[in-house]
Amino acid sequence: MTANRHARGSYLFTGTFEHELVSSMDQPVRCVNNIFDAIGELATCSAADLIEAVVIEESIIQSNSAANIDALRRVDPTAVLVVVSEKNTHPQADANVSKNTTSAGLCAAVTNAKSQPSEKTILSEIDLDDVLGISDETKITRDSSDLGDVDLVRALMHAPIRFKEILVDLLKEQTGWTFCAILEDQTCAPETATIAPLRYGHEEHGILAAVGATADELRRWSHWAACWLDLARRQQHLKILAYQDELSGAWNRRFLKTCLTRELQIARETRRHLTVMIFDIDDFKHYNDKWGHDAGDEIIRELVKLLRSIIRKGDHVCRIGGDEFAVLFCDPEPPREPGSNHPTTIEILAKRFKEQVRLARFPKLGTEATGVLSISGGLATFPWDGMDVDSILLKADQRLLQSKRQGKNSITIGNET
Amino acid sequence: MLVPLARNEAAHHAAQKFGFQPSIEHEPALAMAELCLHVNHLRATQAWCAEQPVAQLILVHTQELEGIDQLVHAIHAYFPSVLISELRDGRIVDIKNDSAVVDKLTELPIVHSEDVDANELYMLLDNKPHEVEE
Repeated sequence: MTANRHARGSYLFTGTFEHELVSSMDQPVRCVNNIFDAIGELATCSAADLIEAVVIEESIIQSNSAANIDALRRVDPTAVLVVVSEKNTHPQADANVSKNTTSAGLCAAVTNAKSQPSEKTILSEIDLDDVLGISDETKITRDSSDLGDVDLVRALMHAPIRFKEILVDLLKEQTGWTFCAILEDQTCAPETATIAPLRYGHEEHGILAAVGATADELRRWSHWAACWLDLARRQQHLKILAYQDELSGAWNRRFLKTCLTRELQIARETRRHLTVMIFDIDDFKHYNDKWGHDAGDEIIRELVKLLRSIIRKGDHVCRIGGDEFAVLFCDPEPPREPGSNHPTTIEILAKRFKEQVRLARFPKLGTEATGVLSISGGLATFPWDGMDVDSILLKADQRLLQSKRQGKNSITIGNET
Repeated sequence: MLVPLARNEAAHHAAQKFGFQPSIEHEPALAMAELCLHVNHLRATQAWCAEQPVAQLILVHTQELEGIDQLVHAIHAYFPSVLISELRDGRIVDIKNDSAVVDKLTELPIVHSEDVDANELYMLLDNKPHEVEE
Protein backbone atom coordinates (compact mmCIF):
# COMPACT_ATOMS: atom_id res chain seq x y z
CA MET A 1 0.00 0.00 0.00
CA THR A 2 2.72 2.41 1.00
CA ALA A 3 4.83 1.88 -2.11
CA ASN A 4 1.90 2.69 -4.36
CA ARG A 5 1.08 5.84 -2.50
CA HIS A 6 4.54 7.26 -3.06
CA ALA A 7 3.29 8.17 -6.50
CA ARG A 8 0.45 10.22 -5.06
CA GLY A 9 1.78 13.68 -5.44
CA SER A 10 2.97 16.83 -3.86
CA TYR A 11 3.44 18.17 -0.34
CA LEU A 12 1.45 21.26 0.58
CA PHE A 13 3.35 23.45 3.05
CA THR A 14 1.02 25.71 5.03
CA GLY A 15 2.72 28.49 7.00
CA THR A 16 6.30 29.71 7.21
CA PHE A 17 9.03 27.10 6.88
CA GLU A 18 12.80 27.08 6.61
CA HIS A 19 13.84 27.45 2.99
CA GLU A 20 16.26 24.50 3.36
CA LEU A 21 13.45 22.18 4.37
CA VAL A 22 11.16 23.10 1.49
CA SER A 23 13.86 23.21 -1.16
CA SER A 24 15.37 19.87 -0.14
CA MET A 25 12.14 17.92 -0.68
CA ASP A 26 12.23 15.31 -3.42
CA GLN A 27 8.49 15.56 -3.96
CA PRO A 28 6.82 18.46 -5.76
CA VAL A 29 6.02 21.20 -3.28
CA ARG A 30 3.35 23.89 -3.02
CA CYS A 31 3.32 26.63 -0.41
CA VAL A 32 0.43 28.62 1.02
CA ASN A 33 0.19 30.96 3.98
CA ASN A 34 -3.06 30.12 5.70
CA ILE A 35 -5.55 27.36 6.38
CA PHE A 36 -8.12 28.68 3.88
CA ASP A 37 -5.67 28.58 0.99
CA ALA A 38 -4.67 25.07 2.06
CA ILE A 39 -8.33 23.98 1.93
CA GLY A 40 -8.72 25.69 -1.46
CA GLU A 41 -5.63 23.90 -2.83
CA LEU A 42 -6.87 20.54 -1.56
CA ALA A 43 -10.32 21.08 -3.04
CA THR A 44 -9.14 22.21 -6.45
CA CYS A 45 -6.11 20.01 -7.11
CA SER A 46 -6.51 17.81 -10.14
CA ALA A 47 -6.37 14.02 -10.16
CA ALA A 48 -3.08 14.25 -12.07
CA ASP A 49 -1.49 16.44 -9.43
CA LEU A 50 -2.74 15.20 -6.11
CA ILE A 51 -1.68 16.48 -2.71
CA GLU A 52 -0.18 13.63 -0.76
CA ALA A 53 0.49 15.44 2.50
CA VAL A 54 -0.43 18.74 4.09
CA VAL A 55 2.38 20.01 6.30
CA ILE A 56 1.00 22.64 8.68
CA GLU A 57 2.87 24.99 10.93
CA GLU A 58 1.31 24.83 14.38
CA SER A 59 0.60 28.57 14.62
CA ILE A 60 -1.68 28.32 11.57
CA ILE A 61 -4.15 26.04 13.30
CA GLN A 62 -3.56 27.14 16.88
CA SER A 63 -6.84 29.07 17.24
CA ASN A 64 -8.85 25.86 16.91
CA SER A 65 -6.73 22.94 15.83
CA ALA A 66 -9.53 20.36 15.97
CA ALA A 67 -11.84 22.37 13.67
CA ASN A 68 -9.03 23.28 11.30
CA ILE A 69 -7.84 19.70 10.95
CA ASP A 70 -11.45 18.53 10.59
CA ALA A 71 -11.92 21.04 7.77
CA LEU A 72 -8.91 19.68 5.85
CA ARG A 73 -10.12 16.12 6.35
CA ARG A 74 -13.61 16.93 5.10
CA VAL A 75 -12.19 18.15 1.83
CA ASP A 76 -9.74 15.29 1.31
CA PRO A 77 -9.87 12.43 3.80
CA THR A 78 -6.95 10.65 2.13
CA ALA A 79 -4.25 13.35 2.43
CA VAL A 80 -1.81 12.86 5.31
CA LEU A 81 -1.90 15.75 7.79
CA VAL A 82 1.38 16.58 9.50
CA VAL A 83 1.63 19.28 12.17
CA VAL A 84 5.01 20.90 12.69
CA SER A 85 5.32 22.20 16.24
CA GLU A 86 7.85 23.15 18.89
CA LYS A 87 6.71 20.73 21.57
CA ASN A 88 2.94 20.16 21.42
CA THR A 89 1.34 17.17 19.79
CA HIS A 90 -2.02 17.26 18.04
CA PRO A 91 -3.76 13.91 18.32
CA GLN A 92 -6.13 14.72 15.45
CA ALA A 93 -3.20 14.95 13.01
CA ASP A 94 -1.79 11.87 11.28
CA ALA A 95 1.74 12.81 12.36
CA ASN A 96 3.50 15.40 14.51
CA VAL A 97 7.07 16.47 13.78
CA SER A 98 9.39 18.97 15.45
CA LYS A 99 10.27 22.33 13.94
CA ASN A 100 13.84 21.31 13.19
CA THR A 101 12.85 18.27 11.19
CA THR A 102 14.60 17.48 7.92
CA SER A 103 13.05 16.54 4.59
CA ALA A 104 13.96 12.91 5.29
CA GLY A 105 12.31 13.11 8.72
CA LEU A 106 9.20 14.63 7.22
CA CYS A 107 8.96 11.98 4.51
CA ALA A 108 9.46 9.26 7.11
CA ALA A 109 6.63 10.71 9.21
CA VAL A 110 4.31 10.76 6.19
CA THR A 111 5.29 7.23 5.19
CA ASN A 112 4.75 5.99 8.75
CA ALA A 113 1.36 7.64 8.93
CA LYS A 114 0.34 5.99 5.69
CA SER A 115 1.64 2.57 6.64
CA GLN A 116 -0.59 2.41 9.69
CA PRO A 117 -3.20 -0.31 9.22
CA SER A 118 -6.55 0.95 8.04
CA GLU A 119 -8.17 2.81 10.83
CA LYS A 120 -10.29 0.54 12.93
CA THR A 121 -12.70 1.90 15.43
CA ILE A 122 -11.29 1.89 18.89
CA LEU A 123 -14.18 0.18 20.50
CA SER A 124 -14.38 1.37 24.03
CA GLU A 125 -16.62 -0.34 26.49
CA ILE A 126 -18.70 2.81 26.73
CA ASP A 127 -19.41 2.89 23.03
CA LEU A 128 -20.24 -0.76 22.48
CA ASP A 129 -22.20 -1.31 25.68
CA ASP A 130 -24.15 1.87 25.34
CA VAL A 131 -25.19 1.37 21.75
CA LEU A 132 -26.10 -2.24 22.38
CA GLY A 133 -27.92 -1.45 25.59
CA ILE A 134 -25.75 -3.79 27.66
CA SER A 135 -25.18 -1.25 30.42
CA ASP A 136 -27.73 -1.60 33.16
CA GLU A 137 -26.44 -0.31 36.44
CA THR A 138 -29.59 -1.35 38.30
CA LYS A 139 -28.40 -4.94 38.02
CA ILE A 140 -25.20 -4.30 39.95
CA THR A 141 -26.94 -3.21 43.13
CA ARG A 142 -25.34 -4.98 46.05
CA ASP A 143 -27.38 -7.70 47.74
CA SER A 144 -25.64 -7.39 51.09
CA SER A 145 -23.18 -5.10 52.80
CA ASP A 146 -20.23 -7.28 51.75
CA LEU A 147 -18.98 -7.25 48.18
CA GLY A 148 -18.14 -10.63 46.74
CA ASP A 149 -17.00 -12.22 43.51
CA VAL A 150 -20.59 -12.24 42.30
CA ASP A 151 -20.52 -8.43 42.22
CA LEU A 152 -17.56 -8.57 39.85
CA VAL A 153 -19.37 -11.00 37.59
CA ARG A 154 -22.41 -8.70 37.56
CA ALA A 155 -20.21 -5.71 36.78
CA LEU A 156 -18.68 -7.60 33.84
CA MET A 157 -22.12 -8.44 32.50
CA HIS A 158 -24.01 -5.22 33.11
CA ALA A 159 -21.62 -2.32 33.69
CA PRO A 160 -18.12 -3.10 32.36
CA ILE A 161 -17.21 0.56 32.55
CA ARG A 162 -17.46 0.38 36.35
CA PHE A 163 -15.58 -2.89 36.68
CA LYS A 164 -12.30 -1.43 37.97
CA GLU A 165 -14.10 0.80 40.45
CA ILE A 166 -16.00 -2.16 41.93
CA LEU A 167 -12.81 -4.25 42.03
CA VAL A 168 -11.06 -1.55 44.06
CA ASP A 169 -14.06 -1.22 46.41
CA LEU A 170 -13.96 -4.95 46.98
CA LEU A 171 -10.23 -4.88 47.70
CA LYS A 172 -10.67 -2.10 50.25
CA GLU A 173 -13.52 -3.91 51.93
CA GLN A 174 -11.66 -7.21 52.13
CA THR A 175 -8.34 -5.79 53.32
CA GLY A 176 -9.09 -2.65 55.29
CA TRP A 177 -6.39 -0.68 53.40
CA THR A 178 -6.76 3.08 53.80
CA PHE A 179 -5.87 3.71 50.15
CA CYS A 180 -6.06 1.41 47.16
CA ALA A 181 -5.96 2.19 43.43
CA ILE A 182 -5.24 0.63 40.06
CA LEU A 183 -2.84 2.97 38.27
CA GLU A 184 -1.18 3.17 34.87
CA ASP A 185 2.29 3.60 36.36
CA GLN A 186 3.93 4.09 39.73
CA THR A 187 4.58 7.81 39.28
CA CYS A 188 0.90 8.41 40.04
CA ALA A 189 1.04 6.52 43.35
CA PRO A 190 1.24 8.32 46.73
CA GLU A 191 4.70 8.27 48.32
CA THR A 192 3.52 6.17 51.25
CA ALA A 193 1.91 3.51 49.06
CA THR A 194 3.22 0.02 48.48
CA ILE A 195 2.99 -1.03 44.86
CA ALA A 196 2.81 -4.32 42.96
CA PRO A 197 2.49 -5.01 39.24
CA LEU A 198 -0.80 -6.33 37.96
CA ARG A 199 0.37 -9.07 35.63
CA TYR A 200 -1.43 -12.16 34.37
CA GLY A 201 0.79 -14.33 32.17
CA HIS A 202 2.30 -11.91 29.68
CA GLU A 203 -0.51 -9.42 30.00
CA GLU A 204 0.12 -6.17 31.90
CA HIS A 205 -2.76 -4.39 33.59
CA GLY A 206 -0.97 -1.50 35.34
CA ILE A 207 -0.02 -1.48 38.99
CA LEU A 208 -1.86 -1.92 42.27
CA ALA A 209 -1.01 0.75 44.84
CA ALA A 210 -2.13 0.50 48.46
CA VAL A 211 -1.47 2.29 51.73
CA GLY A 212 -1.40 0.09 54.82
CA ALA A 213 -0.60 -3.16 52.99
CA THR A 214 2.40 -5.43 53.56
CA ALA A 215 4.41 -6.46 50.50
CA ASP A 216 3.33 -10.09 50.80
CA GLU A 217 -0.31 -9.17 51.24
CA LEU A 218 -0.20 -6.83 48.28
CA ARG A 219 1.44 -9.46 46.06
CA ARG A 220 -1.30 -12.02 46.79
CA TRP A 221 -4.11 -9.56 46.15
CA SER A 222 -2.44 -8.20 43.00
CA HIS A 223 -2.41 -11.75 41.55
CA TRP A 224 -6.10 -12.09 42.34
CA ALA A 225 -6.95 -8.65 40.85
CA ALA A 226 -4.83 -9.27 37.73
CA CYS A 227 -6.75 -12.46 37.06
CA TRP A 228 -10.07 -10.57 37.14
CA LEU A 229 -8.70 -7.73 35.02
CA ASP A 230 -7.52 -10.22 32.43
CA LEU A 231 -10.93 -11.83 32.36
CA ALA A 232 -12.53 -8.41 31.83
CA ARG A 233 -10.11 -7.64 28.97
CA ARG A 234 -10.76 -10.99 27.29
CA GLN A 235 -14.49 -10.54 27.59
CA GLN A 236 -14.24 -7.13 25.96
CA HIS A 237 -12.13 -8.59 23.17
CA LEU A 238 -14.66 -11.36 22.53
CA LYS A 239 -17.48 -8.82 22.49
CA ILE A 240 -15.63 -6.81 19.87
CA LEU A 241 -14.98 -9.92 17.79
CA ALA A 242 -18.68 -10.73 17.93
CA TYR A 243 -19.79 -7.34 16.60
CA GLN A 244 -16.96 -6.15 14.38
CA ASP A 245 -16.03 -6.99 10.83
CA GLU A 246 -12.40 -8.01 10.91
CA LEU A 247 -11.44 -6.89 7.41
CA SER A 248 -12.75 -3.36 7.46
CA GLY A 249 -13.08 -2.56 11.14
CA ALA A 250 -16.73 -1.63 10.54
CA TRP A 251 -19.51 -3.12 12.62
CA ASN A 252 -21.12 -6.33 11.33
CA ARG A 253 -24.68 -7.44 10.54
CA ARG A 254 -25.23 -8.69 14.10
CA PHE A 255 -24.40 -5.24 15.40
CA LEU A 256 -26.72 -3.59 12.87
CA LYS A 257 -29.70 -5.65 13.98
CA THR A 258 -29.00 -5.23 17.70
CA CYS A 259 -28.23 -1.54 17.46
CA LEU A 260 -31.12 -0.77 15.11
CA THR A 261 -33.57 -2.47 17.47
CA ARG A 262 -32.36 -0.36 20.35
CA GLU A 263 -32.17 2.88 18.36
CA LEU A 264 -35.71 2.36 17.04
CA GLN A 265 -36.94 2.00 20.59
CA ILE A 266 -35.22 5.29 21.52
CA ALA A 267 -36.54 6.98 18.37
CA ARG A 268 -40.10 5.94 19.26
CA GLU A 269 -39.78 7.19 22.81
CA THR A 270 -38.19 10.52 21.88
CA ARG A 271 -40.14 11.13 18.65
CA ARG A 272 -36.97 11.28 16.57
CA HIS A 273 -36.44 9.93 13.10
CA LEU A 274 -33.89 7.30 12.23
CA THR A 275 -32.46 6.60 8.79
CA VAL A 276 -30.70 3.56 7.39
CA MET A 277 -28.77 3.62 4.13
CA ILE A 278 -27.88 0.34 2.47
CA PHE A 279 -25.45 0.47 -0.42
CA ASP A 280 -23.10 -1.72 -2.38
CA ILE A 281 -20.25 -1.14 -4.79
CA ASP A 282 -21.28 -1.30 -8.43
CA ASP A 283 -19.70 -4.24 -10.27
CA PHE A 284 -17.46 -5.10 -7.35
CA LYS A 285 -16.87 -8.59 -8.77
CA HIS A 286 -15.29 -6.94 -11.77
CA TYR A 287 -12.73 -5.21 -9.52
CA ASN A 288 -11.91 -8.43 -7.72
CA ASP A 289 -11.51 -10.29 -11.00
CA LYS A 290 -9.44 -7.57 -12.62
CA TRP A 291 -7.23 -6.43 -9.77
CA GLY A 292 -7.26 -9.42 -7.43
CA HIS A 293 -8.84 -10.03 -4.05
CA ASP A 294 -6.13 -8.13 -2.25
CA ALA A 295 -7.13 -4.98 -4.13
CA GLY A 296 -10.78 -5.75 -3.44
CA ASP A 297 -10.05 -5.95 0.29
CA GLU A 298 -8.21 -2.65 0.08
CA ILE A 299 -11.22 -1.01 -1.55
CA ILE A 300 -13.48 -2.28 1.22
CA ARG A 301 -11.13 -0.90 3.89
CA GLU A 302 -10.67 2.45 2.19
CA LEU A 303 -14.40 2.79 1.59
CA VAL A 304 -15.13 2.30 5.28
CA LYS A 305 -12.43 4.82 6.16
CA LEU A 306 -13.91 7.32 3.71
CA LEU A 307 -17.40 6.78 5.04
CA ARG A 308 -16.26 7.27 8.62
CA SER A 309 -14.75 10.63 7.70
CA ILE A 310 -18.10 11.81 6.37
CA ILE A 311 -20.69 10.55 8.84
CA ARG A 312 -21.51 12.31 12.08
CA LYS A 313 -20.73 11.36 15.63
CA GLY A 314 -23.36 8.85 16.69
CA ASP A 315 -23.80 7.34 13.20
CA HIS A 316 -22.65 3.76 12.64
CA VAL A 317 -21.08 2.05 9.62
CA CYS A 318 -21.72 -1.68 9.20
CA ARG A 319 -20.49 -4.16 6.62
CA ILE A 320 -23.35 -6.56 6.15
CA GLY A 321 -22.13 -8.60 3.19
CA GLY A 322 -19.21 -8.96 0.77
CA ASP A 323 -19.52 -5.48 -0.70
CA GLU A 324 -22.76 -4.51 1.00
CA PHE A 325 -22.80 -1.86 3.69
CA ALA A 326 -25.33 -0.21 5.95
CA VAL A 327 -25.08 3.18 7.60
CA LEU A 328 -27.23 3.89 10.59
CA PHE A 329 -27.88 7.60 10.88
CA CYS A 330 -28.91 8.08 14.48
CA ASP A 331 -30.44 11.49 14.20
CA PRO A 332 -29.14 14.08 16.65
CA GLU A 333 -31.64 16.68 15.41
CA PRO A 334 -34.44 17.98 17.62
CA PRO A 335 -37.66 15.94 17.96
CA ARG A 336 -39.84 16.10 14.88
CA GLU A 337 -43.01 18.11 14.86
CA PRO A 338 -46.37 17.25 13.30
CA GLY A 339 -46.30 17.82 9.56
CA SER A 340 -42.51 17.83 9.27
CA ASN A 341 -40.93 16.35 6.16
CA HIS A 342 -38.12 13.89 5.60
CA PRO A 343 -34.81 15.15 6.96
CA THR A 344 -32.53 16.61 4.33
CA THR A 345 -29.22 16.39 6.19
CA ILE A 346 -29.01 12.63 5.64
CA GLU A 347 -29.59 13.12 1.92
CA ILE A 348 -26.71 15.57 1.82
CA LEU A 349 -24.45 13.13 3.67
CA ALA A 350 -25.45 10.24 1.40
CA LYS A 351 -24.94 12.25 -1.78
CA ARG A 352 -21.65 13.60 -0.50
CA PHE A 353 -20.45 10.09 0.20
CA LYS A 354 -21.45 8.94 -3.28
CA GLU A 355 -19.54 11.89 -4.69
CA GLN A 356 -16.46 11.23 -2.55
CA VAL A 357 -16.44 7.58 -3.69
CA ARG A 358 -16.57 8.72 -7.30
CA LEU A 359 -13.57 10.98 -6.72
CA ALA A 360 -11.66 8.61 -4.43
CA ARG A 361 -8.24 7.37 -5.43
CA PHE A 362 -7.58 3.73 -4.58
CA PRO A 363 -3.84 3.14 -4.64
CA LYS A 364 -4.16 -0.61 -5.26
CA LEU A 365 -5.94 0.08 -8.53
CA GLY A 366 -3.09 2.26 -9.76
CA THR A 367 -3.21 5.90 -10.74
CA GLU A 368 -4.83 5.20 -14.11
CA ALA A 369 -7.92 3.81 -12.40
CA THR A 370 -8.89 6.89 -10.45
CA GLY A 371 -12.52 7.80 -10.22
CA VAL A 372 -13.83 4.50 -11.54
CA LEU A 373 -15.69 3.35 -8.46
CA SER A 374 -19.37 3.98 -7.92
CA ILE A 375 -21.99 2.89 -5.44
CA SER A 376 -25.73 2.32 -5.51
CA GLY A 377 -27.81 2.75 -2.42
CA GLY A 378 -31.22 3.14 -0.86
CA LEU A 379 -32.40 5.08 2.17
CA ALA A 380 -35.26 4.27 4.50
CA THR A 381 -36.41 6.42 7.39
CA PHE A 382 -38.40 5.65 10.52
CA PRO A 383 -41.31 6.34 10.87
CA TRP A 384 -42.16 7.16 7.24
CA ASP A 385 -40.78 4.02 5.62
CA GLY A 386 -41.25 1.43 8.33
CA MET A 387 -41.92 0.94 12.00
CA ASP A 388 -39.65 -2.00 12.81
CA VAL A 389 -36.19 -3.33 11.98
CA ASP A 390 -37.26 -5.73 9.25
CA SER A 391 -39.55 -3.33 7.39
CA ILE A 392 -36.95 -0.54 7.42
CA LEU A 393 -34.15 -2.79 6.18
CA LEU A 394 -36.48 -4.25 3.54
CA LYS A 395 -37.45 -0.79 2.29
CA ALA A 396 -33.80 0.34 2.12
CA ASP A 397 -32.94 -2.87 0.26
CA GLN A 398 -35.79 -2.35 -2.23
CA ARG A 399 -34.54 1.16 -2.94
CA LEU A 400 -31.02 -0.16 -3.43
CA LEU A 401 -32.42 -2.53 -6.07
CA GLN A 402 -34.31 0.38 -7.60
CA SER A 403 -31.02 2.28 -7.88
CA LYS A 404 -29.43 -0.72 -9.58
CA ARG A 405 -32.31 -1.00 -12.05
CA GLN A 406 -32.06 2.67 -12.86
CA GLY A 407 -28.52 2.23 -14.11
CA LYS A 408 -26.47 2.13 -10.89
CA ASN A 409 -24.36 4.96 -9.46
CA SER A 410 -27.35 6.43 -7.67
CA ILE A 411 -28.99 6.59 -4.27
CA THR A 412 -32.74 6.25 -4.03
CA ILE A 413 -34.34 8.40 -1.37
CA GLY A 414 -38.08 8.09 -0.97
CA ASN A 415 -39.65 7.90 -4.38
CA GLU A 416 -37.04 9.90 -6.21
CA THR A 417 -33.38 9.31 -6.96
CA MET B 1 -23.93 30.55 6.52
CA LEU B 2 -21.03 31.33 8.81
CA VAL B 3 -22.00 32.62 12.23
CA PRO B 4 -20.32 32.56 15.65
CA LEU B 5 -21.83 29.85 17.83
CA ALA B 6 -23.11 32.43 20.32
CA ARG B 7 -25.06 34.16 17.52
CA ASN B 8 -26.60 31.03 16.06
CA GLU B 9 -30.12 32.34 16.54
CA ALA B 10 -29.41 35.27 14.21
CA ALA B 11 -28.56 32.85 11.39
CA HIS B 12 -31.75 30.89 11.93
CA HIS B 13 -33.83 34.06 11.95
CA ALA B 14 -32.21 35.26 8.73
CA ALA B 15 -32.72 31.87 7.08
CA GLN B 16 -36.37 31.93 8.05
CA LYS B 17 -36.82 35.53 6.92
CA PHE B 18 -35.22 35.03 3.51
CA GLY B 19 -36.48 31.49 2.97
CA PHE B 20 -33.07 29.77 2.88
CA GLN B 21 -32.28 26.25 3.97
CA PRO B 22 -28.63 26.89 4.72
CA SER B 23 -25.90 24.71 6.05
CA ILE B 24 -24.69 26.61 9.13
CA GLU B 25 -21.08 26.55 10.30
CA HIS B 26 -19.47 28.29 13.26
CA GLU B 27 -15.80 27.98 12.30
CA PRO B 28 -14.35 29.79 9.27
CA ALA B 29 -12.23 26.79 8.22
CA LEU B 30 -15.21 24.46 8.35
CA ALA B 31 -17.28 26.97 6.38
CA MET B 32 -14.56 27.02 3.71
CA ALA B 33 -14.49 23.20 3.63
CA GLU B 34 -18.28 22.94 3.32
CA LEU B 35 -18.26 25.56 0.59
CA CYS B 36 -15.59 23.64 -1.37
CA LEU B 37 -17.59 20.42 -1.11
CA HIS B 38 -20.77 22.21 -2.11
CA VAL B 39 -19.21 23.88 -5.15
CA ASN B 40 -17.60 20.62 -6.25
CA HIS B 41 -20.91 18.85 -5.80
CA LEU B 42 -22.72 21.45 -7.90
CA ARG B 43 -20.11 21.12 -10.63
CA ALA B 44 -20.22 17.33 -10.59
CA THR B 45 -23.98 17.11 -10.81
CA GLN B 46 -24.43 19.81 -13.39
CA ALA B 47 -25.14 18.82 -16.96
CA TRP B 48 -22.58 19.98 -19.50
CA CYS B 49 -23.28 23.46 -20.82
CA ALA B 50 -26.18 23.97 -18.38
CA GLU B 51 -26.40 27.13 -16.38
CA GLN B 52 -24.16 26.80 -13.34
CA PRO B 53 -26.04 27.28 -10.05
CA VAL B 54 -24.26 29.77 -7.83
CA ALA B 55 -23.11 28.83 -4.36
CA GLN B 56 -23.45 31.55 -1.76
CA LEU B 57 -21.76 32.17 1.57
CA ILE B 58 -23.53 34.49 3.99
CA LEU B 59 -21.51 35.95 6.84
CA VAL B 60 -23.43 36.73 10.02
CA HIS B 61 -21.74 38.67 12.85
CA THR B 62 -18.40 37.40 11.61
CA GLN B 63 -16.55 40.45 12.93
CA GLU B 64 -16.40 38.34 16.10
CA LEU B 65 -14.46 35.61 14.30
CA GLU B 66 -10.80 35.51 13.29
CA GLY B 67 -9.48 35.08 9.78
CA ILE B 68 -12.53 36.31 7.85
CA ASP B 69 -10.45 38.49 5.50
CA GLN B 70 -8.28 35.50 4.66
CA LEU B 71 -11.37 33.35 4.16
CA VAL B 72 -12.94 35.84 1.76
CA HIS B 73 -9.66 36.24 -0.10
CA ALA B 74 -9.24 32.47 -0.45
CA ILE B 75 -12.80 32.00 -1.74
CA HIS B 76 -12.26 34.73 -4.33
CA ALA B 77 -9.02 33.07 -5.38
CA TYR B 78 -10.17 29.45 -5.55
CA PHE B 79 -13.90 29.77 -6.21
CA PRO B 80 -14.45 33.15 -7.89
CA SER B 81 -18.01 32.21 -8.84
CA VAL B 82 -19.10 31.94 -5.22
CA LEU B 83 -21.25 34.82 -4.07
CA ILE B 84 -20.19 36.15 -0.68
CA SER B 85 -22.71 38.21 1.22
CA GLU B 86 -23.06 39.68 4.65
CA LEU B 87 -26.07 40.13 6.88
CA ARG B 88 -26.05 43.85 7.65
CA ASP B 89 -28.89 45.74 9.34
CA GLY B 90 -31.34 42.98 8.50
CA ARG B 91 -30.39 43.00 4.82
CA ILE B 92 -28.17 40.68 2.83
CA VAL B 93 -25.44 42.76 1.20
CA ASP B 94 -23.03 41.34 -1.35
CA ILE B 95 -19.31 41.63 -0.69
CA LYS B 96 -17.49 42.70 -3.83
CA ASN B 97 -14.60 40.71 -5.14
CA ASP B 98 -11.83 43.27 -4.65
CA SER B 99 -9.29 41.05 -6.33
CA ALA B 100 -11.13 41.43 -9.62
CA VAL B 101 -9.53 44.24 -11.65
CA VAL B 102 -12.79 45.53 -13.06
CA ASP B 103 -14.10 46.48 -9.62
CA LYS B 104 -11.20 48.86 -9.05
CA LEU B 105 -11.86 50.92 -12.16
CA THR B 106 -14.16 53.89 -11.84
CA GLU B 107 -15.02 53.87 -15.53
CA LEU B 108 -14.91 51.06 -18.02
CA PRO B 109 -11.92 51.42 -20.37
CA ILE B 110 -12.68 52.35 -23.98
CA VAL B 111 -10.56 50.49 -26.47
CA HIS B 112 -10.00 52.16 -29.84
CA SER B 113 -9.16 49.69 -32.54
CA GLU B 114 -7.73 50.48 -35.92
CA ASP B 115 -10.17 50.78 -38.80
CA VAL B 116 -10.98 47.60 -40.68
CA ASP B 117 -11.39 47.90 -44.43
CA ALA B 118 -13.98 46.05 -46.47
CA ASN B 119 -11.60 43.34 -47.61
CA GLU B 120 -10.47 42.53 -44.09
CA LEU B 121 -14.07 42.40 -42.95
CA TYR B 122 -14.98 39.93 -45.70
CA MET B 123 -11.94 37.84 -44.85
CA LEU B 124 -12.96 37.76 -41.22
CA LEU B 125 -16.59 36.91 -41.93
CA ASP B 126 -16.38 34.68 -45.01
CA ASN B 127 -12.77 33.62 -44.98
CA LYS B 128 -12.39 34.83 -48.59
CA PRO B 129 -11.52 38.19 -50.16
CA HIS B 130 -14.25 40.58 -51.21
CA GLU B 131 -15.22 40.14 -54.86
CA VAL B 132 -15.89 43.53 -56.34
CA GLU B 133 -18.80 43.56 -58.78
CA GLU B 134 -17.91 45.12 -62.13
